[in-house]
Amino acid sequence: MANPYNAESSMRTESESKSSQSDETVDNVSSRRNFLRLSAASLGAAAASFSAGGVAAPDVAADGAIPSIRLADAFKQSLTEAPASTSFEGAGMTGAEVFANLCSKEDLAALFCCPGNYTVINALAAAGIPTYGGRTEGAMCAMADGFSRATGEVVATSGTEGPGFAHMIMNIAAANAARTPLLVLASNMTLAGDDREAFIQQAYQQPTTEGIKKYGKRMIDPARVHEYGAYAFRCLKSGVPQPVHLDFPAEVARARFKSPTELRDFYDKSKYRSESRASPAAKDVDAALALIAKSQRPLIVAGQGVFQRKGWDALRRAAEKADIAVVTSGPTRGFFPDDHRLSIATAPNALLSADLVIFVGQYCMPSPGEYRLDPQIKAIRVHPVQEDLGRNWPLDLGIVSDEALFLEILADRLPKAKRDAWVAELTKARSDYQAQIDEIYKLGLDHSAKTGMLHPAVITRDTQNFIDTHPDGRESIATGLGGWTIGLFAGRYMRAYRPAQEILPPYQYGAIGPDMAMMMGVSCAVQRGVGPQKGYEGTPTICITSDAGAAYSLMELDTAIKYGWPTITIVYNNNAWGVWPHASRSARSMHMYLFQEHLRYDQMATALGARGEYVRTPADFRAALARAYKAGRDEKASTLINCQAIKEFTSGKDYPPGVSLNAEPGAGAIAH
Amino acid sequence: MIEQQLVGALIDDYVARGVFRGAALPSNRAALESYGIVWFRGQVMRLDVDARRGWVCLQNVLPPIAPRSRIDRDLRNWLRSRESPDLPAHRSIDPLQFKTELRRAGGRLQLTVTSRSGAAGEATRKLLRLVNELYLDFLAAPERYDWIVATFDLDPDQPRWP
Repeated sequence: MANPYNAESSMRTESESKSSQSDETVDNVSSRRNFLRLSAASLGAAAASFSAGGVAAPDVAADGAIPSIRLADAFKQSLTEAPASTSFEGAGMTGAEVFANLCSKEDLAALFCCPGNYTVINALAAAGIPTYGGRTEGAMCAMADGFSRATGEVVATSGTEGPGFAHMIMNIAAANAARTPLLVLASNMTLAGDDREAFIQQAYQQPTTEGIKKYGKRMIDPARVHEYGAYAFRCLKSGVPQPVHLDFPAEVARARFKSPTELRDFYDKSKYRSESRASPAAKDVDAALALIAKSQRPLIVAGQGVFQRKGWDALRRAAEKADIAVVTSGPTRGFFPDDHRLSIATAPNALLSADLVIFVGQYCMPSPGEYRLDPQIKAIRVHPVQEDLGRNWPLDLGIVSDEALFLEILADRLPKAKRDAWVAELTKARSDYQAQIDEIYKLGLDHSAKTGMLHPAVITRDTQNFIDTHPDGRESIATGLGGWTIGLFAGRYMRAYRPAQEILPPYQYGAIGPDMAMMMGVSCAVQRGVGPQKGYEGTPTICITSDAGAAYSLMELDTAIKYGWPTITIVYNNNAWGVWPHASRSARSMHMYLFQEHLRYDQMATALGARGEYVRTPADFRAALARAYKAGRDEKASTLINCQAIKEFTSGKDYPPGVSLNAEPGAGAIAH
Repeated sequence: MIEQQLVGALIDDYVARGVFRGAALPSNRAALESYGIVWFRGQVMRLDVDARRGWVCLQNVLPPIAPRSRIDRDLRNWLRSRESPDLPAHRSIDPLQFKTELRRAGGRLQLTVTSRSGAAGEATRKLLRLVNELYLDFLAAPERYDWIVATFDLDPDQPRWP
């Protein structure tokens, strides 16, 4: 296995930081130095006191200056170590090692964790599975989810029994809503201590993930550790994926096996699961072809299943053969390019014209009225398992099939057809939509000029413009859109041109907060060139988020820098939760929605070893973004750009148009 | 009679497609068919159909809107835009074939479509599509966000209709 790490992570000195900062940031650095000088005096005194007791203070330089942030040698050394082999010979294998070997044979793409569940995470690392440790379990869980959203691969996350596992819950739920194949691992004390509140961290884990997983098991029989590992991967790699949750009591993780005969169902993945996929019945394909033939304005809604089954080439072939409009849905965008002549993602006005909708791999089904479609539209749904067909949306035809297989058969069997009027309508609707958001951008520029603060339309449109005009190619930069006000504006302006170029952190579950961590997982996938990210190694990723969202995972900048993932985080800082207007008509409520004003997230980033930029004008923002990209590309540096705004931009009363939800399905859709 | 059957079949189709819940109501006026419809946010609307005149009317199509308010003006402009030749034929309402009217009744709004050729079935189809677009297009515009959240008591995080 190739070394997935980049041990050349860039830890930057203050002087290096200073050279690439804006004037404003230079002031920050200067201020920071003053702070450091002041702090050094007190730390020096503490060190002297410490030394008096006979303990050295090795990190304090002779001149009393506080040393620069740096990676520990032990960190770099650890990443260069070769995987360790295990066997039943000699001391035998632990339950954790048996499980880790199974994960390795299943090509588990990555583990994102915090220390805890030590036996299992150490065994996974030693087995050669790319593992990453961070600051909070919740954020590491989101990182794993982001990695999977960007690749379609099975990933794992882990935390310690009670607190660490509990911290993961929001992001397990987000992964469940996105149908992410996420393997949730957690230690869980001892079977001997069950129901006795023995020592600390006792909690019943499995009921906690009820409703947000496909399968879960607290393992109680050490001999079945391989069997349940197989159970997990059978669920993760078959049908519709969702999180799988295994909790490991110490008696299971630390059990020792000296012979395979001590293990139940200890056989290879070729025996415990199947790669066989459902192919559509011939009569169902005939019926679908007949409905498409009658349709004047057909539409394919290609969901997460099309991405996970890597059906994008067949999707494009089918659409182009018969002039079928396409919009993608789900937490991952770009597997049908937004600029394709048949894309309806940025043509909301045309959605209501479609007379046939073909849902393919739409795992999270809307109800009529939630999608912007004609009420009499005929509906076909293609889904890999039968029992979900007909849920929420009444169907004219339900087809059980693997998504990619269906699209390949459809592309082969569809007769060529021209639907010129429909294509012309799509073109006009895209043009109309572009004119509409161009007008909003002009308003945003005006609002920015009048207030001296950055309007979200300006931030997001200029970010996309940076991507569209970048010499590395507009397909190169993967993006993620989170936050409330800024996320909804970003949905209007951000585009995706290749599979998994855009990730939607708040998809369906609506969590405000996983954004930064999720995009670090994406950055990890990009740097390793996994799946559809191959060919973009070295490219920084861009995360658009809010001040509210950043709070949940800002500390993980430390993790991104440790592992050399160049991330650019654009923080829309409006001093408030974006939903503050809901307090405006309620007495004594507003204080709950407001933060201190003008908080300096850029300075927090700097303190974590990242670059920080503070901007308030469109020109400064564009320049900061260009510097951030260059630093990410050339030095693997991560940057946080603090875009100072005002909360009133959310409301359309003073600063039209204000916030609103985007059309579903389409660019900016987050619900289904 | 044929037009009445067309209207009935259309209502049945909408119900079968999960668009709204609806059922025929007893009518004490000859030639006037009425249907109770539960649509968008559980609002109870009443569809009256005079098949002889090609006239259909949806009562309670929207909660009260102040006369001459901005949203009132916007709504009337939007309705006129539905007659624009710029819209594709399958979406537009041809004023030579249909007459569209927005009226107030007891404070609430009612929308009528009259087929100039007496085609009640097609008038009903036009009216129901128009109402669908009113909610999914007109009311979904950014400038209506605060109004719909306040008027329909929607969850501000999830201002959706069903």
